[in-house]
Parts: sequence; structure tokens; C-alpha cells
Amino acid sequence: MRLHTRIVLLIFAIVTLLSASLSLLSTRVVQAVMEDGIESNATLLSRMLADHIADSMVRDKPLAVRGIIRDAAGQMEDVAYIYVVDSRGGLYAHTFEGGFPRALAARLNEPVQGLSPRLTRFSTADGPLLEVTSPLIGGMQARIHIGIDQTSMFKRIRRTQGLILSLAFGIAVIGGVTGLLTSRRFARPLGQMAEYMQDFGSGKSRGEIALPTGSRDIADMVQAFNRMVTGRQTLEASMQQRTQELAGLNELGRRVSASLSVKQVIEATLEEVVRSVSPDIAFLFLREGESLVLQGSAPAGSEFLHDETPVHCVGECLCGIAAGERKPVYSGDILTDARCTWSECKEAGLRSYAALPLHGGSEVVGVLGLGSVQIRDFAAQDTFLEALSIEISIALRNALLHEQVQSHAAELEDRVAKRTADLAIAKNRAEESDRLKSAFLATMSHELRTPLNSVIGFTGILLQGLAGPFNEEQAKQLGMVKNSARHLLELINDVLDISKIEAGQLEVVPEQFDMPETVMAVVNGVGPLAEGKGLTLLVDVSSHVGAVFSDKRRVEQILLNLLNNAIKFTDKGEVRIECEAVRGQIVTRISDTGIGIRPEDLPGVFEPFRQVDTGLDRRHEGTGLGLAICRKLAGALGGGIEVESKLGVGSTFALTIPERRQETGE
Amino acid sequence: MKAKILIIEDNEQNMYLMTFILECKGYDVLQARDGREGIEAAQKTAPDLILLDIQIPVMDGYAVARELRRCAALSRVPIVAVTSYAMVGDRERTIEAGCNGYIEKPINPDTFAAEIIRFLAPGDAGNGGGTE
Repeated sequence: MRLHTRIVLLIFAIVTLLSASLSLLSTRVVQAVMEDGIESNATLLSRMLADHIADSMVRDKPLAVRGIIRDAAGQMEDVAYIYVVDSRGGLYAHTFEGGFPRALAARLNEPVQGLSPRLTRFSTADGPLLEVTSPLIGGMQARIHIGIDQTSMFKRIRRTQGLILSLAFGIAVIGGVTGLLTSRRFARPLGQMAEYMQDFGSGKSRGEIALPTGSRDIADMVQAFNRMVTGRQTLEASMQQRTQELAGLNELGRRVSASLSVKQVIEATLEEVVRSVSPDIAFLFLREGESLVLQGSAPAGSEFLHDETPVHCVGECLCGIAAGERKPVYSGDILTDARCTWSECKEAGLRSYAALPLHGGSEVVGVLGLGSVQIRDFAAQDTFLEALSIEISIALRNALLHEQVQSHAAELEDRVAKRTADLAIAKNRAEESDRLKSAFLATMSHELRTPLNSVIGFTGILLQGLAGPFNEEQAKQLGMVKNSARHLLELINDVLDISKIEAGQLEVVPEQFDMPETVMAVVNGVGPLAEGKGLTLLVDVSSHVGAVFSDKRRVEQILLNLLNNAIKFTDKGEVRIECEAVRGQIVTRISDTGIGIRPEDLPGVFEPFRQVDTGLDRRHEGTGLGLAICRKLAGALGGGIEVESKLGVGSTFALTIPERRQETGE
Repeated sequence: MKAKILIIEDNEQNMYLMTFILECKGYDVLQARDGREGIEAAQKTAPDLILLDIQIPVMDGYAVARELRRCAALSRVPIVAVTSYAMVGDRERTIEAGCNGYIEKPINPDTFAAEIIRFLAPGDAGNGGGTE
């Protein structure tokens, strides 16, 4: 139900209710007042008549009495009858034209109660009747009854009541009309406003409400409402813009973070900028030294593109200034802005322009330019535009870094590939030269041995006297030839050995052999040599040393070499060989009481051609390769050689080899 | 009866040296200058021992050893390689080819005869062999 209808109904109901209750109340009052008046008139009349007739009664003049009451009845319009009862209860006089009614005759003997007039109401065929009974002087049952016809009185009352009700109805009608008028004046604009608010709330907003004529209060209200509507529309518009901006930022962030190439980032940036800022043109420049190089513009196919100079200088025109000062530059109208020196923009019809440096907190990587053909306040959106430019610059920087890293990686890969190729060539060359060296050594060895065969062989034959006798001097000289030839042969053998080892061609042929036996064999081999120098050879092989699985020939070679060295460098005293088993290793120590080695020379004793210079003449013959070969051989057997020495006291060389050589699975 | 030793060797000086030592020790020495000649000589004379150089003309020592081993009459004759080959696997290759022993050049004149005797059957020793 409409508000104004409700107001009208309400007012009408209130007025009706009020007037109805008022009229009801007033009819009651009227009736009571009128009835009271009649009653008091009747009472007064009865008393007056009682006084009038008292004298006649005393004198017993019934005719006089009748005359008085008839007069009284005749004068009083509403008096229906009057009758008087004497003290004995007999009818004394009455005004009934056709004789005393029988109905009343029964009441004649009723006793008089009290001295005051008594009122009794009857209902008769002629209408309601009020009877006043007053006692008469003389006592007993003497009294006067006055019957008063109330019909006319009730008629008057009803008439009055009718008048009152008409009045009340009138008032109700007037109230209703007034309510209707009031609602027209107040409720209708209110209803309109309500309707409008509903529309507004549901989004079907219309323009402002027309100002109603008349009431100022309503007009003020409508005005206030209109102001509110305008305010809200402004707010909504700005919120919508902010939402659009945030959505743009979000979309831009999503797209650029998904792209790693600079090209993709630029494309995504331009598209999203056009979508969220809606400029007529957007440019993106990247900084290259002191130049800004145009990378792209949007929307695609824009007419402003055609005559663009793709390169800008830092510090020149709006974009250059923005890059140089690392601050956004906004121009409301480039036609009147002295900073804008790029005529193409003006000729293309651009008016407002925003140049946003892309720096993201560090160096400027580029500039985003936004142009509008209408005058537009880009600065009003500065917060958003600057947030946008930070987002873009971070994405651009990441993409640029990524490209750099990629190019570095590619360069590195090229270098590695080239280096690998170089190494492969070098390796091939090295392998080839190794092969040539081995072949050369084998040939050399063979070729050197053949003549040596003759030298050693014939010297030996001569020395054995197989070819005939010779003198002592000749024997000494032949001995020298033989020694030199032997030394030369040792050298050839050692060089061949060490080159084989270095070329990785050393073959280890492991077999089971008895270690104590091998040690004794070697000791026996050098026995004559030690004996010749007057040295004592001491052998101490632990009972824990037994069978060994290793390369017997190589073990012999090492031991022989070490023993020969010990004897060679010892002039007096002893050479001792001790052999023991320690945790799966066979340790053989060869100690002497020889010249010893200086501490500074110790580290070099195992290097090739490093026979220690004793400071004396080089009287100890040797190739200088022996120890180097020994150490390499020991390594090939899975063991090693250590040396301890004290100058002038002696040296100890300790050979360690595993009891069982591990098969390397070659 | 003197033991017969066949020397297959192309180098004159070595041939002379070995022949001289062995003859001094009382052996009967036969000479061949190349592989083919050596095989023919061996088949013809059935020596008690063959001393075989590896680097010889016509066919090398390995081939000669294999050829000799294929000949039933000579399959049990000891063959000793005398070579200056000293590279990895040389010793093994000679044994594989059918040689019984290996003496590295240059030979040691003091011990050469003694080394040879080890390969001869006991009755084949020369007049001086084993008595020194």
C-alpha cells in the first residue's frame, strides 16, 4: 500500500474515531441533562401541587383539588395524568378523562415511603412514562402521583443526537479531505523519492528528482538527496576507475611475469596500458646509452605512428626529460608547453601527454609515453600511472637481465665447446706424440742394443780369454769398455722403463710367490758386491711374511735397485734388510750406514735424473732413474716407497706393497 | 754326441758372437740368415735347440716359431727367442708363438752358455756345458 494512501486512511480513521466517540459522549450527556431537567421539574411540580392541594385536602374539598390538578395538567404539556390518594388509600381526585385506569387501582394501597418525592418509570402503550410520587401533609397514605409522558422528550433527545452525529460525520469528512490533501503534498514526493531510491539502489538510476513546488522542507530534502546522489555517482565512478586500474595492474603483472623476452614484455605492456588507461596512443622507449629507442606503440595501426622519429635523446622533449630527471612529466596541453619539442606529436593532434620514466628504483631502462587527443588530466591518475611504471620497469629489467644471462650462457657454451674441441685436438696430438715417442723409444732401444750386443759380447769373450791371452793393462782397459757398455745398457733399459711407465704401458703380471725366498734371492745376488766392499749384509724376515700375490719380477727389480743403491753409497758398516707384515701390507726396509742424504735433498730423491750431488766427485755411477722407477713401480703394485735419512749416518728406504694386489679389473 | 744348435739370425756380428761362444763351449752350430732358410735348415737337420731372432727378413721370428711348431718332427724342439725387442708384451708374444724361452739382447757372454744349457735335454750338453 502506498504511503500516501496509508496516511489518508490513518488520518480518516483517527478523525472518525474521535468524532464518533465525541458524539456518543455528547448524546449521553444530552440525554442525562434532559432527563435530569424533567425529573427536577416533575419533583418541583409535585411539591408545589402538594402545597396547593394541602389546604383543600384538610378542608376536604375534592372538587377544588381536582380543579387545581386539572389546571396544572392542562398547563403542563407533558403531564399525562395527576391523581391524589387520601390518607386511607382511597382515590381522592384525578385528571383521567375516561375514569381511573384499573391498572393503577391496584397501586392505591401502596404505602408511602419516606417524605421525599419518589420517581418511578413505566413503559406504557403510549410510550415511556415518568411518575413522581410525593407524600401529602396529613400523613398516612395521602399522596399525589404525577405521570409525565416522556415521548416528546425522547424525540428531542434523538433529534439532538442526530444533529451531533451529523456534525461528527462532517468533521470526519473534513479530516479525510485534509489528510488527502496533506498526503498529496508530503507523501507523494516522499513516495517518488522512495521509488527513486529503490531504482537507484538497484542500479536503474535516473537523473535528479524534479524539485516539487510548495513545501520548502520537501524541497530541501530533495535537494539534499540530489546532492547525495551526485556524490555517490562521483564516488562510484572513481571506484570504478580504481577497480579498472587495479585490474589493469593485476593483468599487466600477470602477463609480464609470465613472459621472459623483452619483446613479449613490451607487447604485453602496451596492450595492458591501452586497456587500463585508454590513451589515444602509448609509446614505449628503451634506453640505450644517451638515446631512447622506440620499441613499439599501441593501439596497433595508430595513425600517430607514421611520422615518428624512433630515436630520442635523454633530456630532450617530455620523454627525454622524464628519463633524465627520473621523474614523471605531465603536460596538460603540449601545444602551449615549451618542454615539448617534438613537433610530430603536435602535428599528429595530441594535446595532453604523460611521460613516465621506467626505473623501478634504480637506473632508467626506458620511458612509457601516453598521449591524448582531448585535453586530459593524466596527473590525476599519477599514483596509478607510477605504480604501473614500476611494474613495467621491473618486468623489463628482469627480461633484459634474462636476455643478458642467456647471451652469456650461449657465449659460455660456445667457449666451452671451442675449448673442448681444442682440448680434443690437443689430446689427439698428445696421444699421437705419445705413440710416436713410444715407437721412437722402441726403435731406439732396438737400434742401440744391436751394436751394444757386439760391444758387450766381444768384450766378454776377450775377457774370458776365449780368443787368446792378453796382458794386464789390456785386461784393465777391456774391463773399462765392459763397464761403460753395461752402464750404457742400464741407461737404455731405465729410459725405456720410465717411458713405458709414463705412457701407462707398464704391465703388472701378478702371481703367487714366496716373499722370504724372493728377498733371499735378491740378497744373494748382491752378496758378492757387498762382500767386495767389506760390508755386512743383515737379513731379518718376519715369520709372519709368507706368500704374496704381486708381480714378482717388479718386486725383485725394486729390491735389487734399493739394495744396490745402499751398497753403492755405503763405504763401511752394514746394510740391513728387514721384512714384516703389517695389516695386509708387506713392508721391506733397507737401511744402510752410508753417506746419507741432506734434508733439503730428500724431497727430490724420487725424481728422474736427480742423483744427489754429494759434493764430491761423481764417483757413484748410476742413471739417476733408479729411484724414480722404483717409486713408480711400487705405485703400480698398489704400494709405495718412503725414505728417511740423516746426513753422514745413513738412509732407510721402506717399500710397502699389499700382500694381495687388488685386481683393478682392467 | 755334440748337441746341434740352429741359430736363425740376420745380423752378422751377433751370429758370429753366438756361434763363437757356443762353439767354444763345444756345441755344433748351424746357421740360417732368414726365416725361410731357418725353417728349411731345421727340417733338414733336426737340431736339438733353435735360437731365434725375431726381427729377421722374409718372415719374422713369430711366424717362424709358429711354422716350426706346426711341423710334427720339430714340435718338441726347444726354441729360445733372442731379441732386442723390449716393449710391453714382447716376452708374452714369443711364448704365444711357441717359444720356450726368451733371452734379451744384448746377450751377456758370461752367462749366455749357461742360459742355453737350461733348455737342452740333459744328454745334449756340449763338451764344456754344465761343468763350469
